[in-house]
Amino acid sequence: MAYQHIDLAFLEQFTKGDKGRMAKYIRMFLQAAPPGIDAMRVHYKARDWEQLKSAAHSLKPQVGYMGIGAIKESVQRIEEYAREQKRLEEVPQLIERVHDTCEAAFGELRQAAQDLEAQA
Amino acid sequence: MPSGIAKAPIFGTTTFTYMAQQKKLVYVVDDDPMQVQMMSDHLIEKFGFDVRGFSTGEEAVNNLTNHPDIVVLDYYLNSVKAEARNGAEILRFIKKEFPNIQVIMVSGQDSMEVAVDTMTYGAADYVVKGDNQFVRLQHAVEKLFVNERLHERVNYYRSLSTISIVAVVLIIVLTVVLAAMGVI
Repeated sequence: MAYQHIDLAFLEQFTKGDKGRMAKYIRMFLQAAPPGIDAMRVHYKARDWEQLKSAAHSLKPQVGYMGIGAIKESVQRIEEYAREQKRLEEVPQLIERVHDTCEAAFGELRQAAQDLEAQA
Repeated sequence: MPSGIAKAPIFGTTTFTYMAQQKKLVYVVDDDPMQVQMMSDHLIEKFGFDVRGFSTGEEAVNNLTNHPDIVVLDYYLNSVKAEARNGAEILRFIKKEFPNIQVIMVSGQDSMEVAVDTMTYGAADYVVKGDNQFVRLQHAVEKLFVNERLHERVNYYRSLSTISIVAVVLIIVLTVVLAAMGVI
């Protein structure tokens, strides 16, 4: 199945095509990512740059595993700006970009997990 | 590291044969459950380790009396609990109290400063998170086995040379004694 926002090539390679394991990791991401994105918003409002950096840092490899390439750079920039406390005025826009893209990706990931579980 | 027989890997490939008389115990410490799960699954699949996951360094430290052979330790451990100690502090504690435990640091940050810091504090290797992290983690573990084998060989040859010296000295003493007795 062709996806617009995700690419499961890494997961497929990592699990050697084990559909059950692929679905397991997708479910874990679907559980972890939404609170992770919310946390970035909360930490930005609280001007807690250390925690904002940590939240972006955690999300960074996960979006890579799920092949959500469109926001990889945005997450990297959020982490960098929070770490170096620079260009912080750009961060809310970056967080919203991450949120919107992830929302679209979550739908595809839910579908993918269902399909994989059905085939496992 | 406890007894185990590890065949030396072929450098430059991911082929590695590992046989253990006793399963090695490995701790994977990361505040991201997905990271813990994926790294644990990979280490079990590749090496058949007994792997235990922890979400904070403090939890892992409280279980060090079980003497893990390897600790795979994330550098940043405070995304869930802000007050959690970071990986560098945990690394320093482990190397001070349990110097024989090998620590492989893992971080999402490809930073020379972090890498140098962790190696200075005694980490065996430093792996950057990302698509290649699992292969790199595997290579780091294989490197530990190679070092372990080299260490065993050095100890073996050291023992052998000690035995040889003692044997030569005994032969000389025996010869002198026999000569003094007029036997030879």
